[in-house]
Amino acid sequence: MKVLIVDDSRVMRQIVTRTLRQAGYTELDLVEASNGLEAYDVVQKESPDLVLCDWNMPEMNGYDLLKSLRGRGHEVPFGFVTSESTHEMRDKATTAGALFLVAKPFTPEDFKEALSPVLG
Amino acid sequence: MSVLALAPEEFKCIVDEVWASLLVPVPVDADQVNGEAATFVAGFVEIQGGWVGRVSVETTDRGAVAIASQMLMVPTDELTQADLVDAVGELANIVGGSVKSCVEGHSTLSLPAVVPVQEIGDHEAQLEVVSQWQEHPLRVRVLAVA
Repeated sequence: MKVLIVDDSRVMRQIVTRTLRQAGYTELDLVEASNGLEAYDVVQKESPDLVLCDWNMPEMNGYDLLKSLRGRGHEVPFGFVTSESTHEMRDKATTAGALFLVAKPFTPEDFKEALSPVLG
Repeated sequence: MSVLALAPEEFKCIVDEVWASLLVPVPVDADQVNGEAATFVAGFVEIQGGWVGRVSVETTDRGAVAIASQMLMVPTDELTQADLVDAVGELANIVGGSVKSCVEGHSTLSLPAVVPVQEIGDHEAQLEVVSQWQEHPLRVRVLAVA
């Protein structure tokens, strides 16, 4: 399965990659993007099975990316991995079509719990 | 009027959780900040709402190198300046996100920035946690911006 990791921080993309492995997802095909605009193009080209996306990014944030994808009929499974996790943001994320919101800092167990409905 | 509803012990729990998840060995508590003040850098994010302030993560430039090396799993001699900015800024972003969730009412979180610590501004420190990671000092502060 292919997972797109979207975060403007290279450090965080690396940590997400490492945590996926620690959660047992060792056979994934991983692709990356550093903001929402770039991610939108990657979704078109790579057709990922899941998007793991930061919220607060330059160029286009994760919430606007999700709205753009859904607005154009893309139903790729989408979850946020973000430092902000207020009730307001969780409600916005769910309403926009996100499956989950994992707050940073996170553990492999957090990933397993959130991702298993999609990745098994 | 929004307020920051965060007790010192709660702030320390937030910081300790970040350290425990990202740095090995886990940083230990320290009584004071050790290190040459002129070499300190600060990664910070700004919270804007009814409560306005900054959350900063501060260490020496050598500390920033060690943190970036561990977070990226890259040898120190292969790191770029952008990597150091990314690592220290992301730490501030993670702590800042948790602090923002304790601000009542609607507020926003800026993207992180990294500056020499003396450029962060002379703001009142409402909360502070001081730690030591290996030989590197770490200070995390919540600064109220008047």
